[in-house]
Amino acid sequence: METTLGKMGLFLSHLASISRLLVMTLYWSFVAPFRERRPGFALSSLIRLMYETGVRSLPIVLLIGCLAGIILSLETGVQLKRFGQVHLVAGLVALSMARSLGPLLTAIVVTGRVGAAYTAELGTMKIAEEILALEVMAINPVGYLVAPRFLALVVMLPCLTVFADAMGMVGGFLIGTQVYHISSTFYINTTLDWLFLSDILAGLLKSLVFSVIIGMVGCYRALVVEGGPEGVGQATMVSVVTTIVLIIVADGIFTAILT
Amino acid sequence: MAARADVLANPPMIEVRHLRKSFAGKVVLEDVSFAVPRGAVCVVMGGSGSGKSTILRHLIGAHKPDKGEIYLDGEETTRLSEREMERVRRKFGMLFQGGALLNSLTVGENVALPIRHHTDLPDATIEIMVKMKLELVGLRDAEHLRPSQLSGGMQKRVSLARAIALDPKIVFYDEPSAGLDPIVTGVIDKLMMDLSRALGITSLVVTHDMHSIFRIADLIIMLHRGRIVVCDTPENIKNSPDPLVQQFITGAPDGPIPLRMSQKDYREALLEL
Repeated sequence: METTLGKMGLFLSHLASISRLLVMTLYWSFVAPFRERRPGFALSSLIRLMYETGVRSLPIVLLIGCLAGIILSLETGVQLKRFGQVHLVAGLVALSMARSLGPLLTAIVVTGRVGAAYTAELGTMKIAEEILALEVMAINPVGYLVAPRFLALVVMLPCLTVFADAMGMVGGFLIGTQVYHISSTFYINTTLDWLFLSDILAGLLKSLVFSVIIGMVGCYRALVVEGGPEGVGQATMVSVVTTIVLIIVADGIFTAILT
Repeated sequence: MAARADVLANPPMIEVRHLRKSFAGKVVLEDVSFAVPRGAVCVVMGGSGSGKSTILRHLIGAHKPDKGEIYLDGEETTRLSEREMERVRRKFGMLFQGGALLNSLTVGENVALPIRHHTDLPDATIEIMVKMKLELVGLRDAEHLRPSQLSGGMQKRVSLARAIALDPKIVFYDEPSAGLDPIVTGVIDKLMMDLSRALGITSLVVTHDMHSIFRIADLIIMLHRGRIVVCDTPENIKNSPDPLVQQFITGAPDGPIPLRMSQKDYREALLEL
């Protein structure tokens, strides 16, 4: 009983700390650049992080998106064929990619590629006293380190999601036209008929929330690292697991609200 | 080198009054009070767990005390907000035990970081300042290298150049000789003394390297279990009759500070198994 209470308390204190970090990050990302005498970070470091986060993640996001489209169309195609409705594949793939699978898969790939890297990098800086050194130099570590990483994710994750959505539809198109012999004009027209801008925007809204989760959990776990290199490894693991669980929970809540 | 009596007569630059701190019920600092005169090199020594690093962390504002006050350059710092503390922090620099240089930046960018962040100087001026600071520590040629390409001693010298980039009034040193060979330790010690003598910087050094202590110190503070045992000039400390002080200087394995931490009888403990 006591341990359950203790764990609840720990969870709540983490939640409170993460919320505080989020408020500080939002301040340093959106308010400080206009209000402070100078921004907390250099534009060049933001651009480098956006390249690392976005452009370097693009190949794997394209691959995963395309494969997801192929698998989705193969699986649904087999079932639909039994009812003679195989032409519905196009719309199903487009909708599932845009509303759900695109944002979710992209977020999971980016958690592994970027979120884990943030925790490992900042965690190593924490144990090498580099973060304390920044504080002693009167440079706010949230402004200097967390805010640009947060911004890079918030901008790049939705962009990556658009690419994943598109590649999923390309994968579906390949299977639909080659395996189920749907004519390409028909496939494209059905996709355009079924898919509304609101579906894509709903997906992008999700991915915006996912990017906040990835950035905050990744950086928070790094800032509370203790106990040497072992602690960094542990923190990275915890950060990835926590992020993925939170993303799926958030996805569930979103889907319940939006449908 | 003999302690400089004239420096010890200066008004205090760092003053700690009745500092108390406990972590999770364990008392780490018990009523610590001392003052460091302007321009002096003060060494805080003591065994592991004596509380010397905790004092340092209070001075830089990383910990808040349970009780007591800290005055830096005449300003009480323990009750300042994070934002006000940032202003005070611009008055001091710190040399970290592992150097704590940012590995994603070059040596020159590391030294330039505090200048770029806190001043509006044009890039050309900053570049000159960086060269001057690196020249002070004898590493002008390393400007474009990465910290990972330097040896531990060189990293510490760069870290020192960064610590003095904004011409601070106080520099804190956390175990400056840890992990360095005697020659590099000598180099760092000499830099430390030069800074204090030429620029009038007040230094507070946490270390337990007896050789450097007697070379650099104007004032020595010895801590044991969170209390100040003695606070005096190196000469007086050398001649102190206190067995605790003598044990520390000679490094005797047993004395007032016991070798073993167990309270229980050895034979009894074995038989219990």
